Amino acid sequence: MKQNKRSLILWLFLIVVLAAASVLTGAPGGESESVKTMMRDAVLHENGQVSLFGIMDVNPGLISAYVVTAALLVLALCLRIFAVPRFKKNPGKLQLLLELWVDTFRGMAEKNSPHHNKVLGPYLFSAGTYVFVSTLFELLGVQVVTTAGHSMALPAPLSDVNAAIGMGVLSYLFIMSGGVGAVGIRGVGRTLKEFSLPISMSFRLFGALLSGLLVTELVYYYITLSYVLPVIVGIMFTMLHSLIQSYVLTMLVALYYGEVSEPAQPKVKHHKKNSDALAA
Amino acid sequence: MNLPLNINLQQIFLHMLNFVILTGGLYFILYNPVKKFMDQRTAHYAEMDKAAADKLAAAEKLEAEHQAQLDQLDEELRQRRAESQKIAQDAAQQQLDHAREQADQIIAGAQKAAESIRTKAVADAQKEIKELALDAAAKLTLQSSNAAFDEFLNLAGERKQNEQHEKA
Repeated sequence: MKQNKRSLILWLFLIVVLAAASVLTGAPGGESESVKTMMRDAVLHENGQVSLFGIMDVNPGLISAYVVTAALLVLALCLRIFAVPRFKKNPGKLQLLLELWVDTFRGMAEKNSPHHNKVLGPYLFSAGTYVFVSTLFELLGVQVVTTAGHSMALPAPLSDVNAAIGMGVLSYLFIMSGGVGAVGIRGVGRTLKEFSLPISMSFRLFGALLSGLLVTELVYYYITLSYVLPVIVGIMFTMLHSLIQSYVLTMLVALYYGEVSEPAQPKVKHHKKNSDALAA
Repeated sequence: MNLPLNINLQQIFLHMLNFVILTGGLYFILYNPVKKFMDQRTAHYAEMDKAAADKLAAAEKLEAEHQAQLDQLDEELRQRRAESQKIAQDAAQQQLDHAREQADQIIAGAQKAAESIRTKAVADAQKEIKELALDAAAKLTLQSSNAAFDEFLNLAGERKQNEQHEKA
């Protein structure tokens, strides 16, 4: 109970801090640069901005992220209200699916970080679910209107470089917090050793999802390729992507988290060992 | 704040905020209740397993006690059997000794009876022999009494002559 309260406070604190950071770092607005090519637009979303509740113009990936989050939270709430109270000791199909969903990430956390994994499990659960669902989200083709008045389908959130960087940096900070929680200041040192991790994580996600997006854009660009082939390229690749990327990200986070939160081993006295060996 | 590649710090923070909300929400709404249920079920089955193990241990202990009792009974039975055998052997030996004693007595009695019979038989035989001898002697005496008498007289006469002669 006390642990839950602490987690709740931490969660609210993080929300407040990030909300403040979002407000303080906001640009005053202005004209965006013109987009020269479709590909450049697909990559940078410089021209295809979408209005966020009329407050500011954002990349469509952010809208996708919010939609995915809202959908996931509503789904979770429905499951919590209608499914979880009806759980039985002999599980049904839905219960099995939910248990498998939770247990996969919990098992991954316990396996890769056997010493400290209480927070890692929920993080992996959330990250894996988010990457998986948000990648599949682009298949729905939810339409929005850009600020320029064009209609466009919402892309996968992580095909936006800001989302990928956000996810990579947050994962890195999470790994660092695990290290600090487990071994104190030594954890910071251990995490800083992997200074390239946030960049590699971010751009791996971004590159993987963007490549799928670009290939799809190219396929749809030519009318002759718009039959049958999109089924394979668009759907199969997206499904594979969602599975692979969620696995890769969660596995990397679990591995690094386990590495930095590993308890420090007592140093072996080599001199004594050597002298003992010599004596023997 | 816009950086190259359309990197926008505000949007990065907004993405992070979004993800933190999602993480917390999923944790409190779904992950924790499901995990709690699974842990409770695991604990329930672990408890059942422990109870079964305890029962098994108690049953094994009871079985061991019963086995010990059975062994003790077997041992007691073996001792009783040995004692019974010994008693039976002693009784048999006693009967055997008694029988031997009786046999010895019978033999001794028989020997005594035989001896007395033999003595009696010998006595009877002797008596009969005596009687026979007497009869025979009587018969012989009757048959040769004359000659014997004559001879007696002769001898007596010779003896008288000798005495006279000596006196003389």
